[in-house]
Amino acid sequence: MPSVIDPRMELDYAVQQIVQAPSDNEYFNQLLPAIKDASKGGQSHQLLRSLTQYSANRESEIERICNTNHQGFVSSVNQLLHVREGTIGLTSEILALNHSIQSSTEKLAEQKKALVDSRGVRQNIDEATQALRDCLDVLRLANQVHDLLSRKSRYSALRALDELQSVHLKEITQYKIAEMIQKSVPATKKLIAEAVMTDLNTWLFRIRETSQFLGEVAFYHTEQRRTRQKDRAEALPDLSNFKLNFAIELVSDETEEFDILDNEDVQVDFTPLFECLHIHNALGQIDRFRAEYAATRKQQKELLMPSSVTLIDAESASLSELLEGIAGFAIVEKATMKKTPELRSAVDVDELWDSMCQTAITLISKALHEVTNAEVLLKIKGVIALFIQTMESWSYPVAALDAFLLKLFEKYAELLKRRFSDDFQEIVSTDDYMPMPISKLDEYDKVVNVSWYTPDKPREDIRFPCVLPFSQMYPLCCIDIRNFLNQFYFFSDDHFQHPRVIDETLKTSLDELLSESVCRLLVERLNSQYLGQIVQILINLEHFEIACRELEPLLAAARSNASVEGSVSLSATEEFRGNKKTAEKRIFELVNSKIDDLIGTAEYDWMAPTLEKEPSNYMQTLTRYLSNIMNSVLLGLPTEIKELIYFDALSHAATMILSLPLSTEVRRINPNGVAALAKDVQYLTEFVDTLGNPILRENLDELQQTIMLMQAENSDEFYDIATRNKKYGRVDAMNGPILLEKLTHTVQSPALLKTDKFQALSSRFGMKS
Amino acid sequence: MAGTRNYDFLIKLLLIGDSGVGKSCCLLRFSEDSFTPSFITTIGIDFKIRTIELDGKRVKLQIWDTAGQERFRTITTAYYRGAMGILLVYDVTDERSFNNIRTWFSNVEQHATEGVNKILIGNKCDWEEKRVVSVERGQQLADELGIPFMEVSAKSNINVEKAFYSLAADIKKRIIDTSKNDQAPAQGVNVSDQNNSIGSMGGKCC
Repeated sequence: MPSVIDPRMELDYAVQQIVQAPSDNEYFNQLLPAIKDASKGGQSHQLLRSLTQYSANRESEIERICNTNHQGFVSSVNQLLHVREGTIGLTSEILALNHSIQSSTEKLAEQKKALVDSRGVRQNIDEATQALRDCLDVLRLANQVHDLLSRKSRYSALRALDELQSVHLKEITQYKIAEMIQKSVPATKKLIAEAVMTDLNTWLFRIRETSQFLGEVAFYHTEQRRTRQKDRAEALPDLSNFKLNFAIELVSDETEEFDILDNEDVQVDFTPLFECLHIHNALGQIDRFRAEYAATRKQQKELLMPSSVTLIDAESASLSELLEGIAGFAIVEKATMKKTPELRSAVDVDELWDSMCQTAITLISKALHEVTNAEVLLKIKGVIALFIQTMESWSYPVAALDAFLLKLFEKYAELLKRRFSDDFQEIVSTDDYMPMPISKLDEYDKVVNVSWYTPDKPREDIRFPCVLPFSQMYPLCCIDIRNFLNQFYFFSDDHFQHPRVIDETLKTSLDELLSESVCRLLVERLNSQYLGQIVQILINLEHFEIACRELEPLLAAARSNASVEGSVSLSATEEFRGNKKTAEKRIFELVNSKIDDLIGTAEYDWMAPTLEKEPSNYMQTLTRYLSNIMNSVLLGLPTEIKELIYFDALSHAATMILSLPLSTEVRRINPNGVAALAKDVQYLTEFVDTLGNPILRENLDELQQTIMLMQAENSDEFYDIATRNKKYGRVDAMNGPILLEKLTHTVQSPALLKTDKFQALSSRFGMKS
Repeated sequence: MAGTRNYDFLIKLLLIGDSGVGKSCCLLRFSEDSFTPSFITTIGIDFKIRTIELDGKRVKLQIWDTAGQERFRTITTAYYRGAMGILLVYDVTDERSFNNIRTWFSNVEQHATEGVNKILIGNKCDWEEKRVVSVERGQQLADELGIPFMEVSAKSNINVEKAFYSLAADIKKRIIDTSKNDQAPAQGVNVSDQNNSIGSMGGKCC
């Protein structure tokens, strides 16, 4: 078109069009083709001029409009600018707001998402918690089992475990833990069993430790019972026949409350054992447990027994320890048996007891050889007796021990006998063999009280100092005999089941002691050269004989069982009595040997030229000696023995004197010789007469008649039986003729025949040629 | 004559002294050569016989042992007279027994035959640790009393033989001297063969 119309005109229009474009897009749609057409037609300058024209027009228009409304316009522009500014601020504010809203919504969304997420987690957690709680309950129960276990409530633990297993585990079977717990149940049970076993072992160990002390306490208790029984027996003598463990003693002692297993000194708590038993019962292992327990106790028993004991330590400590140990052990056994019959049978307990007794007996027997002292043995017996009585009260059989006491007694008797034998030997060997001098009344009483001696004078009439007939060995031996008796019976104190054995052994031992250690030793001493000693021995023998006779009924009375009939007779009595004869013979022997010695100094001159005026010196010595010993050494002898001795001595002297002229070495005897002999015999006769016993003179009959015969005017009478029997009845039929043969009728030495006396004698001695 | 006799002389001796000095022990030692440690009191009187040989002669010693205790004094004193020799015995461990010797000696003077031989004997000389009487004091007393002295021990057999032999020899010498002078045998002594050479019977033999 443009081409058609004036180009100028056309351009102006186009610019009109362009500027009036309602919109930017229109604007550009108009502009762009205009520029394009202008540039094509080379009219760009025109366009540009049009445009510039338009603009200048516009501007002039504006200028004109504005000239009127300039002020308003400007203020509107300003207002507009202001509004525009506010709009921009508002826009940015809205933008900022928008931005902030946008950002806050993002957070919210995030939170919402998180919320949803956590709700899911929470659900999971809740479920897990529930499961856990269930399991925890079970676990807690399971733990409780262990807690109980650790609190030593084994049985509760076991019960809890059972409950767990049977109830609670079932609730959580879906969980693996149930399976695990289920699996652990046997182990826990085992744990419980082990725990109780450990406990039991501790208990057993403690029991073992306590055993000896328990025994000691038991022994002490038995001793207390003994004391009480003794006190009761003192108050009521009828009770004295009843020993310990007799029913009456047990009844009398009932009031004394004493529990050996629970007192201030010792407490034995059986709870661990019960628990153990209970649990094993619950576990159904009672048989195994029983066997195990039995084995353990057996083992403990072995440990209890030492390999050896000594019996000679102070206070028999070793033996006491052994027996206390056994007692404690056995008491626990018995108590266990009573409390838990299903655990310990009587057979088990008795078996252990027997074995312990046997071992103890063997051990003691082995050590017995060490004991050399009766007192020590008595103490040992005391310990064993206490043991026996204690155990008897626990109804243990004690027969084996009683039998053993018998063995012990044999040894005791042997030791006592040995010791007293030594004592007696000592007494016999150190005695002075002199009548015992007593200076005071109390001394006298003491001797009379211990001896079996009946004084011939009443006590009041005795003046001190006095002399008792026996030597001091007698009362000393009497004391020993009494001690011996007492010590023998000490053995039956408290407990000894064989009293008859004591009676018998005592009798035999005492008899042997008296015979062997007193009588025999005294008889051995008879070899002594001292007349005084032998006389004293004889007197002592006499007193011992009396003592024996007194002892016999005493022994019978002392018999443990008084009802046993029959008297006791000691063979020692006969020994003493018989040996008095031996002593007597020895006195004869000794006196006779003295007589021989003195007659051995006779110095007859059978062919004396002169007549002797005085009795021979030997005869004077002999009679003085006999008189002296009769008044001193022999004085204390019992009268009948004294008379026997005198009789024997004189008889012996007569025989010896008679033997002097009979000696083959004497060939001739002159009248002086006969006269000297006759004078001596006369002297002897006078001495015998002073003794105041006519019978004694009979001893000189033969001597006197023989001398009469030698002095007889008619010696033929001797050969006439009738006359001989009448005058020379005592003259020996052989000796008479021998002596008559030796006689000379005259004194042969004429040188000495000058005294009247001799002539007188000569005529008197005159013989028929 | 006297063909039954188994000795030539009889000598009677007497032991005196306090109780316990050991008279009997000395005698037992001398007569039987034994010893007993236990104390045996002599009651009244006792005697022992031992025949010894002196210068070829058999001498029978009849030794009388007396009780030392006072209560037997009457019995024992009677034996003083017949004694030809007296042994006065004390115990060297016992002062009293030594002091009492003077009393015993005066008893001898009073009761025994005049001129009787005596000897002072201190027994238990083996017991040195207990000794209280010295040898010198013993000797001094003997010198004072004019008699021989000897310490002996019956237990250890010291000088016992010597004491008895010495006393016997002295007696033999004295009796023989007497019999030489008046040809009359002393009481109790018989010299079996008076023609025997008397001169050879001197001196001690121990």
